Amino acid sequence: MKRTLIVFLFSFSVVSAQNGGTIESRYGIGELDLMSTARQRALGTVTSAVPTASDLSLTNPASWTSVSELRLQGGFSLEHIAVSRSDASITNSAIKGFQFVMPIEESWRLRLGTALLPVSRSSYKTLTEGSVEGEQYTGTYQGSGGVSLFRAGLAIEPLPHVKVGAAYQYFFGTIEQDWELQFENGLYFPSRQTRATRHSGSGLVLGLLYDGIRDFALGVSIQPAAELSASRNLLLQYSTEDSILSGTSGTQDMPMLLHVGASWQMTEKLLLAAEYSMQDWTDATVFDRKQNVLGSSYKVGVGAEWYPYKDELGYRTLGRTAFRLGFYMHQPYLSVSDEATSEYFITTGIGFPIFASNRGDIALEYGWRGAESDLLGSQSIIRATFSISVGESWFVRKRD
Amino acid sequence: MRIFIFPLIVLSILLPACQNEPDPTGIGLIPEGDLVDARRFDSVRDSGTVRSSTAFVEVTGETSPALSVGEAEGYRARSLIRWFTIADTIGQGGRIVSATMRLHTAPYHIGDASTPLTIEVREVKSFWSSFTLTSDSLDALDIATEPSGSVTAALGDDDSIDIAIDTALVRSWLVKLDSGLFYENYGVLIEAPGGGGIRAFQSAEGSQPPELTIVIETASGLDTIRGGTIEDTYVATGPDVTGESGITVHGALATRGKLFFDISGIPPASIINHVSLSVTIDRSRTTDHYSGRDSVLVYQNFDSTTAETLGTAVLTRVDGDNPDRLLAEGTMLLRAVQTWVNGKGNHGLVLSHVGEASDIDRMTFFGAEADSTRRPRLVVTYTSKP
Repeated sequence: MKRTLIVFLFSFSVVSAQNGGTIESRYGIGELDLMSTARQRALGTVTSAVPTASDLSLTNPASWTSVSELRLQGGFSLEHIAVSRSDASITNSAIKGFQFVMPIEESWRLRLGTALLPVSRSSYKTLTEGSVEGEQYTGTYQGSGGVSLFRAGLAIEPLPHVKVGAAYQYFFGTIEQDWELQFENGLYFPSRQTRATRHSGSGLVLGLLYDGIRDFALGVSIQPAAELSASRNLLLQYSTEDSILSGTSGTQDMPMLLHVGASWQMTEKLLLAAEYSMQDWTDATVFDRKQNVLGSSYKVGVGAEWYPYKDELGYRTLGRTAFRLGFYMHQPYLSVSDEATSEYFITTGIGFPIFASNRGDIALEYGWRGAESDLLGSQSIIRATFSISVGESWFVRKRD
Repeated sequence: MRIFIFPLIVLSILLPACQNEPDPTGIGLIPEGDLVDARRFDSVRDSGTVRSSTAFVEVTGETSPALSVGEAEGYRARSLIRWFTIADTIGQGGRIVSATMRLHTAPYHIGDASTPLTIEVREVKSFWSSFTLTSDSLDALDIATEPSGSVTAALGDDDSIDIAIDTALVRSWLVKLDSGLFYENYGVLIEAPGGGGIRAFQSAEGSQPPELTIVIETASGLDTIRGGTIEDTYVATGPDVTGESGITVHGALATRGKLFFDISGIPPASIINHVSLSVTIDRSRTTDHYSGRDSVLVYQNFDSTTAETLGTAVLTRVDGDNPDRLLAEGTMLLRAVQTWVNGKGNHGLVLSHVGEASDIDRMTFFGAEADSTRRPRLVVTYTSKP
């Protein structure tokens, strides 16, 4: 049963490891993923300094040293965005990828980690009406796809309380932009044009985790800037069953991404955490061209995790159930009309045991961004994230 | 355990399907350079170069439902017919009492239909094929100078005429067919010289094809045998219209119209959504002796130096606002213009008469030199590229 579940989640993750988005995801490489598990989202998206044996950081490979058994973690999210202008709403969902960590050696806590994670996702579909000398038509603009990464690396604890990790990352993924014109008059041939931009390239992620100061932990991770190869094709669908595929190639910058976080185990039952992350897209080229709408992105998050019945007799399940609360402010890398639109989210969630060392986590977020004066108006966002972490004692020698 | 797992599995299957219907929210966020729209090219409004002409092509009449015969108004029509089989072939046997060819009229004529027409039948002595016979090759045939049969009659629209044929000629056909020399039976030429008019008869394609009836006397008495499989065709000549102004499509005379539109105003490789062609009939130069249909076939031109057609045709319809204007639209035009826009050679369009193989009629359209309200017009709707 457990293995079936693992295979099931794994297969879904491979099929689609991408993040949800709005029409703003037409810019850049789409809406960037915050790379947080459900637990980390409930903690205000604090990711780099809050590892446990069952919840691994998606940004800091040093956290893999916290794992004591083979562990697979994955999840998905559901998002609902209400847009004040035009009274519209958008609902979408996305698989959030998976991460797999395997213990190699215990004295150095050497760990091998791999992951398939979403980096960005372009996902939108919007309509416009038009006419040409009396002939009415509907134009549809649709985007899909995104950039994902495959990660593989090692983590080790070379000194007591000093944990480091490094991983190679291979970025890949295609973003498709579709244009479709459908006429009311059936004698008119509908037009469809698709621009597909394919990305591929390599990068690194380096992480440090230090927990040598009593109940404090400090986490730092950095993804050095990388340059991806990009190729673009424009596919035109003609009535003649003939298509022109014109290909061009270019580069895609992935600017340096930095996470700096800290956590404080205030009591046995209460953990406090905070994190700052930033990525400057101001000078980044997107397919050999700098996009004026891209700027500096940063995020500040704080959160608390509380085990109210931890170690209390008579509370077998509740004793291992965590309640979380957080808040984060995010400045996305997209600023349309020269205005940077910040996002503010209040987060909450719970973490609960499933069986043995397996755990499930649920996070709920409510956020808002934009102003009435924006093109989209103000947006209210409700997001639910689900994660599951499965552990197996493969390769771990049992004591007699 | 299952309380948590199964809802997760179900959600992971169902949630990817959650997506609202699209709406115009945020359309203003599409970068200006990424917006696409439908645009229209109008050869008249956009001053696109238009060229028109009339061209001669080799056309044969093997599919014609009518066999025209006679001379009138500068036209001359001659028909040829032969029988590949005659029932109960007896070769040299018996005595042919009579041989009669019956032709049934078709309701078309040029000239006064009440005027009696003298129709003559002459033996053809050299090979011909309805698939290749043209006016030039007809003139090169070896044809007997003396008629093998003749009759003078006034013919109505639903009438028939019997022509007695020289029995010696018919005997030669029977001998050849009995010897297996089917293709050496060259049949007869039917003509009506003298300028008394042109009449049309039903061909082998019609409901009442030509009939051959032979009465023969043998030792057992009189017997009647009939002709079977027929090959027929007809050839017409007339005034040369290729040098005239405008665009003339002429049935039977094998002249077609050529049209060229410069569509360089449309960005290359654009997706074509719709094409409409309109041409205006010059009634003063159009005849309707035959079917007189207000329509013309439009083809893509295979080669701009000729008027050879490429692919299937689209048939025009009459514009509801102007009975003199014919409109064409459809897949053929759409694909033709798409081909041009894709840079695969704009050889233009070819117009041909609906009754090209049969009707001795002309339909003339105002050409590129006409004023903007009457010259040929091409309207193309296309989608801009991002």
